[in-house]
Amino acid sequence: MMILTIAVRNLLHRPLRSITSWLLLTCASGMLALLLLVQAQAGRQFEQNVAGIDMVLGAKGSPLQLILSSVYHIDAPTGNIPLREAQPWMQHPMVRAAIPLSLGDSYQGFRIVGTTPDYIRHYGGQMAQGRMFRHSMEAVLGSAVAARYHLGIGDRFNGMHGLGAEGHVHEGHPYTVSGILAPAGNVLDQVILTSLNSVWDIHDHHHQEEEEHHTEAGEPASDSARQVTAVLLQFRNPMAQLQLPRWINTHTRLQAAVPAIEVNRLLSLMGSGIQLLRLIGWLLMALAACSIFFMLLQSLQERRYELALLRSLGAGRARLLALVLTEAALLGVAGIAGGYLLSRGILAALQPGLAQQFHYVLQHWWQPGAGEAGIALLVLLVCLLAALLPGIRAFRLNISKTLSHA
Amino acid sequence: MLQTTHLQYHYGQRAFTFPPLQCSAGEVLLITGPSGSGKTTLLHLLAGLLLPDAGEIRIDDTVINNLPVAQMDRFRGRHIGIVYQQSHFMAALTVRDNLLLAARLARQPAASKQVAVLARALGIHQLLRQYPARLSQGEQQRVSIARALLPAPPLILADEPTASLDDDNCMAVARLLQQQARQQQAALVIVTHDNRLKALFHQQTAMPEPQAGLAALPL
Repeated sequence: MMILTIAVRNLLHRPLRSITSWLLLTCASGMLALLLLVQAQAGRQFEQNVAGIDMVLGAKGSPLQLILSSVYHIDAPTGNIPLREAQPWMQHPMVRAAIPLSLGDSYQGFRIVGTTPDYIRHYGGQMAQGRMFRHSMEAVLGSAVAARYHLGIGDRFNGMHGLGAEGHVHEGHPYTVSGILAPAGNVLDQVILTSLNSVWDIHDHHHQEEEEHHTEAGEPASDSARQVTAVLLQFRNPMAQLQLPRWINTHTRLQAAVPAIEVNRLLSLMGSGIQLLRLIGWLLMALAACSIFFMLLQSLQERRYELALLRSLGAGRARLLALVLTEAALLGVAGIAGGYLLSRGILAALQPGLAQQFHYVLQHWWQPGAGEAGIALLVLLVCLLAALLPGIRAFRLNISKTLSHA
Repeated sequence: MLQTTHLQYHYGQRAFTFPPLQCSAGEVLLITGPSGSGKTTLLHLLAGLLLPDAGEIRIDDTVINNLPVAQMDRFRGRHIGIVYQQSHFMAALTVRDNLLLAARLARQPAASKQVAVLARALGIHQLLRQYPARLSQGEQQRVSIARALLPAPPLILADEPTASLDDDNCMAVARLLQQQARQQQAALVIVTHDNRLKALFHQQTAMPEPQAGLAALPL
């Protein structure tokens, strides 16, 4: 207890030096914690949303883009495909389930997804209020959408053409909220769901009114010319995974993308960036360790009279060693706490942007992750290691010599 | 209280042999001699900070020569109070905390009231909340004396306690040291070359002349 008090006083007595070491430790441990968090969060989100989807069918283009747009609702869609061309695959004997999606409209940055109730079931959505959409122009809101705009059952809103902030508003075709979903912890929270018919109806009407959109969806509306943006498919057996995508990509005008492959590719792209950041984190950590080492060494050099004095007052050598180690450990603990707050602060600052741009709400981000215990332990270990040499010098101090050279 | 035989110690080529010493409780022993005669070395031997090559040091019926390091540290804390020529303090602690720390290290925890009484006697009660670096040399020396006295050790060693003080402060510090030691029935050993002190204390032992011309400070 006495040692702890002296250690705290010593650190506070030389605030500039202590703060420098603390800041370095905070930055290093905060950075490493942040990287761990981002990686864990990104991995979890990506895996949760891809669960159970074996293949995505869509228009030709970048397979990654197709996955991002249809599964994660982040990138722009690759284009539309005629429903009748997709239908043979949706009814293929190797396919267990197929969910068509029609994208392209949004409301205040949240995407409107034309689909079937199967989509909500697939992501485990539960109705919090109201009921599933039954008729055209009825919509079910994800929990985050409803919360953000305080929409309730029976409220009406106008969809907007396009996915950006600016776009043509579909005046005169308001959606009516029929249901609101309970938070599902996945992409479902961030979208507005409606029937395929709603999207088709809006755009049929739209094409009659506005000539310029002909190029986009060309043909007049009829059942045979219905279009969808993508189809999410689930296979009956793994064999299909090997055969179907390749066959579709070589022999049809459609594109088949496998989410597992694309997500892995994306994570490995992100990985190299994270690797670099991690390297910087480790460098900071090494710098912090050096700083503590020199700080303790220098301050002990200045304080060697104090240490000799403590010995002459009756403190044993073990106590002096304990004092030096305690000072380092205190800095370490302060650094761990600072790093925790720093990483959470950065996440909290990023959160609104992430929610807006990527439709992701980080989950349980304030909780210490398993990896963070490792970081904390490491920081403490680094501090103690840096203090070991100065501590040993204190342990072996020649008191008589030190005191007579006053 | 304190008894020594002929103590011997050497640094490299330089060897010292010290006269036998004797100091009882409540007495003052003045050890005088010019610089380089090995006074500080003798004091460090008495404090157990150095080990003699030969001879025996007996404090309070304990022969301290053969104590293991950890036990020596503990023994020193409880039985010996030391006043240095240059006062050393824990810079990060206030005067009061420096005093309390010494008492705790000596395993004689002192109450604030005890500190206040002693500080008043030494005229430093108004300095208790200050940091040591702020005090004048005379004040520092008084705090240093208070620190040595607070755990009430049976032996007090003072190394040139008045060397850096002017005449007024010298007399005041020496009297306080003597008074307080007598009050606590402690044996007081003062090592000095300060002639002003020789007039004050009667029991004196002179150091033998150094055998070579070089200064013999511990290196």
